[in-house]
Amino acid sequence: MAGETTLTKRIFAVLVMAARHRLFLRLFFLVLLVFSILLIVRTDFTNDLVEMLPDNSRSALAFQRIANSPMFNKVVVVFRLKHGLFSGSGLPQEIEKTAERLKDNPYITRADYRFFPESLSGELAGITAFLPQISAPPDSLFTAQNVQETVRKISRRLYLPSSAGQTGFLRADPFSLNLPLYRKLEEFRSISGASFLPDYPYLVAKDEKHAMMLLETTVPVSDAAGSRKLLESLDQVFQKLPPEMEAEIISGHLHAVSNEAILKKDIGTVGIMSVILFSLLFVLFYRCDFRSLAIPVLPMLASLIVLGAMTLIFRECLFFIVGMGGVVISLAVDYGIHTYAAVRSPRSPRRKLARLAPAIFAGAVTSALAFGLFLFSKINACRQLGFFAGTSLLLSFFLMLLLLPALLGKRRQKTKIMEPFRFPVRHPVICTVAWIFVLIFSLFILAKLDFQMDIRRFDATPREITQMEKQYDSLFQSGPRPAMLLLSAPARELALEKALEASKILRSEKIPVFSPSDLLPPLAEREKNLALWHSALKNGTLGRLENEMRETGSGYGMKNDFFAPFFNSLRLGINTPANVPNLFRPVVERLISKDKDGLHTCAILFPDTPRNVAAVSELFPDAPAVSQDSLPELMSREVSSGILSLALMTLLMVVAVALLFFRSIVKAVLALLPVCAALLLTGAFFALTNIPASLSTLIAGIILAGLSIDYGIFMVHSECGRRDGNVFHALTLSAATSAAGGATVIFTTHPMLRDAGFTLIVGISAAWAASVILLPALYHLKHVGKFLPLLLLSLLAGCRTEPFQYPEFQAVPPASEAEERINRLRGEMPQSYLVEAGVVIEYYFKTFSLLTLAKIDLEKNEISVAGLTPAGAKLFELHGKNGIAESFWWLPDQPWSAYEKEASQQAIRDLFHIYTDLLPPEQCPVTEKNGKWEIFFDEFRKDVSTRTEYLFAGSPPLPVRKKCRKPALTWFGKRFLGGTPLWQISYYRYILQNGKWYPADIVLENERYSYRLIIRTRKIMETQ
Amino acid sequence: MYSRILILILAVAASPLHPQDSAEELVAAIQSRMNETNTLSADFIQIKHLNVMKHDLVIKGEVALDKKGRMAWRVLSPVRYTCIITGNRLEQWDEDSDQVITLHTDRNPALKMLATSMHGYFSGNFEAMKKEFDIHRGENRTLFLTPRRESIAGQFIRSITFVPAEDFSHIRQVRFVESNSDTTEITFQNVKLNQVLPESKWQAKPR
Repeated sequence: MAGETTLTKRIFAVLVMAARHRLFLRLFFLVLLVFSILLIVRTDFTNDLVEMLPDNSRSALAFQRIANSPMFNKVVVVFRLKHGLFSGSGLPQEIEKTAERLKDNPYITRADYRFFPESLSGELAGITAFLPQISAPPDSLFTAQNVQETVRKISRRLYLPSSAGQTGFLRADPFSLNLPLYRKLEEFRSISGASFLPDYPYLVAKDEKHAMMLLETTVPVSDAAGSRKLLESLDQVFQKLPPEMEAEIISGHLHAVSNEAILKKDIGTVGIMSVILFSLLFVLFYRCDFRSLAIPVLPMLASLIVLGAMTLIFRECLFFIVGMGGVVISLAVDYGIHTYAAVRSPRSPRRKLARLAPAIFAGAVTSALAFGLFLFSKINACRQLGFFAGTSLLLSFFLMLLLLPALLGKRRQKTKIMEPFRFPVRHPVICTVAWIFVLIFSLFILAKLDFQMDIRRFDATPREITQMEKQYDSLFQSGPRPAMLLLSAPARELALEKALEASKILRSEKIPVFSPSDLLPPLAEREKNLALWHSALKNGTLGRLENEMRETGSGYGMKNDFFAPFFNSLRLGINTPANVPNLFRPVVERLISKDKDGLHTCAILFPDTPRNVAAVSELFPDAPAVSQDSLPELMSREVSSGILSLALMTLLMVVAVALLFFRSIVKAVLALLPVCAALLLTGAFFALTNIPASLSTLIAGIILAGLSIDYGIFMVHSECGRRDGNVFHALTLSAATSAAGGATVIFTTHPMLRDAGFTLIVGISAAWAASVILLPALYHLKHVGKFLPLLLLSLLAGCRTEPFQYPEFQAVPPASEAEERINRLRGEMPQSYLVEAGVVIEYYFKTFSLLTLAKIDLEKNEISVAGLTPAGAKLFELHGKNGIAESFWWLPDQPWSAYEKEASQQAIRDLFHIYTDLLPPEQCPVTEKNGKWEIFFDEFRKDVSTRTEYLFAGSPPLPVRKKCRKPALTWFGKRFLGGTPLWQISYYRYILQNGKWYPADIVLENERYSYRLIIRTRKIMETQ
Repeated sequence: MYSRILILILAVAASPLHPQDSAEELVAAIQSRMNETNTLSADFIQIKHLNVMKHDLVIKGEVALDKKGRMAWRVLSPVRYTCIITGNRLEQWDEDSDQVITLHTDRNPALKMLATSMHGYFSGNFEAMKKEFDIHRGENRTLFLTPRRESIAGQFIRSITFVPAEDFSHIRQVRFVESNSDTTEITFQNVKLNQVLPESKWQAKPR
């Protein structure tokens, strides 16, 4: 404020210069605009999810690898018979014809549709020919005893009923040397969860109405334009199918195309809505002063110029950012509104504008700085949004200052200015109290607010496509899809070597895996094996073996050429190293790829369980582990934490700007009230409408904070000086345009844009109301400082309370008696019982109440639980053993439907924490402190090591608290205290029934996921 | 595959004595009689002609089935071997090793298919067989099965012929022609229906 006079003079000088050189300025910006439009037109905007992920995060690395690797560029074609079954239908022939037609498709590199080869004998010969590269000749192979035993076994097998059709197998591989390879294939089938009917050589589903074809394409799933061409070309092929059958496509390409289509449509909607809403607003507010339309046009121009610059700065520009254009324009028009108000003043408009400019500039800088903070984000999407919005706002401010006064010109008719509300000034106490009630009410309503930070919400793929994918899974998957460990290297053979080493490590950790190196070892390994076979051929060992087999077989009635297929194929494979057999090739080739960045990647498959994914990630921290469940969770976690830190920084910055601007705590707090009101009321709106808060809500919340502080600053600034109806008028119009900016996106299809729209409309309305009602009311209250603590107290009300209280405990006996007492207690703990309990789940501000019936069997280490609503409707039924959910059922079509597996696993894990291991293992160290025993127990495991702390109190001493934390480990594995708290269970009351202690009032606090379970036991029933 | 066919053969052996005009009617009749059969036992002689052997292999033994889904295939000469399928278990024993090997069909899709289809056939369900084979009426009221083009059975089997006895009381002979022209003929004798079978029949290792 101190430097305002000098600043005003300088700004006035700039305004005069701009008026003199207005033609030059217009021409300059026009050229800039044309150049920008050219740049925009030649750029392909993207919707790549990787841009939403924090740089160098595990999820970003995984996603980058997925985007680079053609391994994931696959298209699944599901053929469906409208009538009849696969057998006897024309579908097999049509599949063959389709595969033939696809050979001419430039986007398709291979098509797999059979799991069984066309020529069995040829395939067997191929596998035997490949054998010399796969394994070394076993020492026992060439012994006379082996020859005798092998021939005898074969002759015996020929007598068995199972030998029908098996002669070819026996002749091709009499020593069963290929058996390990078939076992590896079986491992692949088991781990991949793929399920096909074994009756047909084709990939037929169990319902016999669907068959599958797997296509490999050159088009990456992130390439929306390429995807569209690919899908069109496939549609043309599938149109040739007869009417009784149809083909559906399951592919990431569908997601890319539908997302792009939705975003393009949304951008169109935003554009049209912007034009309509802003034109209407300005024409209405400024009473048909059509020159006022320049106010929204200038920010649009600024946005286009900045977007053009972005195409030069950022590698790939996001559609999402373009979609936020309407919102940015709505923020920038505020400067125009204030400029308009000054320019239309009857006396010395330029001088007035120069006086107002510092406040407008402070607002612009605040907003630009808020967005500028985004540039420090690790998330590229945030950086792009920060750059786009921040730079657009600043440029808009300068355009408004330099171009708008000249564009508006002079108007004879004076615009009627809206009168500010008088009620808050006349009845400040009523307004203040009413606002306090509104804010407290909003705070309580926040308890209902649901958070859904899943990044998958960015995927706007239509429901029918996701349903089709689910149907595909139910048809062709017998179990969950496997997770993948992606190992990359500059050369294919190096990648294979990495895969071989990694598979050895993982198997030593008892993680079942399938690696492509199982079927195709690295070159060095293959050459080593081949050399040994070559030596056996050269020194005559192989020849002698053949003669012995022939002679021995003759004794069993076998003709001389009985074993010829084996020896001929083997000899061929030794002399001319064979290619990967057809039976293995689809598997091997799909798990090894040459990526866009020149690296070669091998994928190792392993069962997708949280434990496996955690273990693999820990063992191979530099290699991405792609898991269907864990990867989106990781992505959501990493993105949420990135955006949350930004939100925190923005809030701090908003507070700092308010303090710096006013250099008065009271005024700064007053200016911050619209921000608080905007955030609280927006949260309450989402809670009341049951719309979960998403990542997009958070991003819009950050914009909202930056915008609301402007209102606070303007209003407090205005109330500090002389009262001016212009400020009310300008603020109202500004709020209306900003809300209109939000309204431009609520008509879009993309859920993220829609959420942002709702946030802005509700938040801006609340900020406006707080600015024009609460602030004048507070300002006209005397001793405003006295009300602030009351307000803050009210805002802080609603902190969570303890549901139970511990009784007065008697001191426990000395620690020396602890072991004996605890051992005695072991016999007094129940083993098998039913618990009927009321459970309250608290998650952030949300609370659920349930009735549960749990069956606890500690002998079998099993827990089954059913959850019911208070009205008695069953919500879920879970069964777990050894802490792992084995089966679950949830009420379908509910918000949790997408997370049933995770929720079941977490619930079972919690129940096991609560009801099992109530007592520490024997011989744990005991210390006595404050009349209680403290016992801790360390558990070292490969996946995660934990420390469980027990607290015993009372007489007899009973466990009253159990706390688990993940201790921090040094590089050498040396432990120190602290670490990450995982969970804590407090047992407030026990029921003594038939000599057994049953835990009754229990509270579990999960520190990791920030939720709390409150269990009120109603009834215990012994089952033994 | 082989066991499925075998089950069909033995099921056919239990068919009623009605001359039939078409394959469908013959199969339907067999199916209706199978539903009445609780147990079945028979002796068999199996002659295998393999192109890669200098002479034919002659195998003798006995077979038993019951409605619970159990099947015992016992080879008595020239080697001694037993295969018992009970529910989702498959037990094998042979004289050379004198070991009983137990396999669980729920862990092996191929075995599961075998066990499931066996139970299906025994309970009169021919749908599984029709899925893989076209069933024709052959000469002298025989059933002639050829694998469908899309069936995986075509990789191993060229055709199967069932020869019923004159009075249709049982199948006298069945002949397999494999895809490499090897042939197998199984002749059944002493077919006994619905007799109480001792528990020892279902033990892999003979006592």
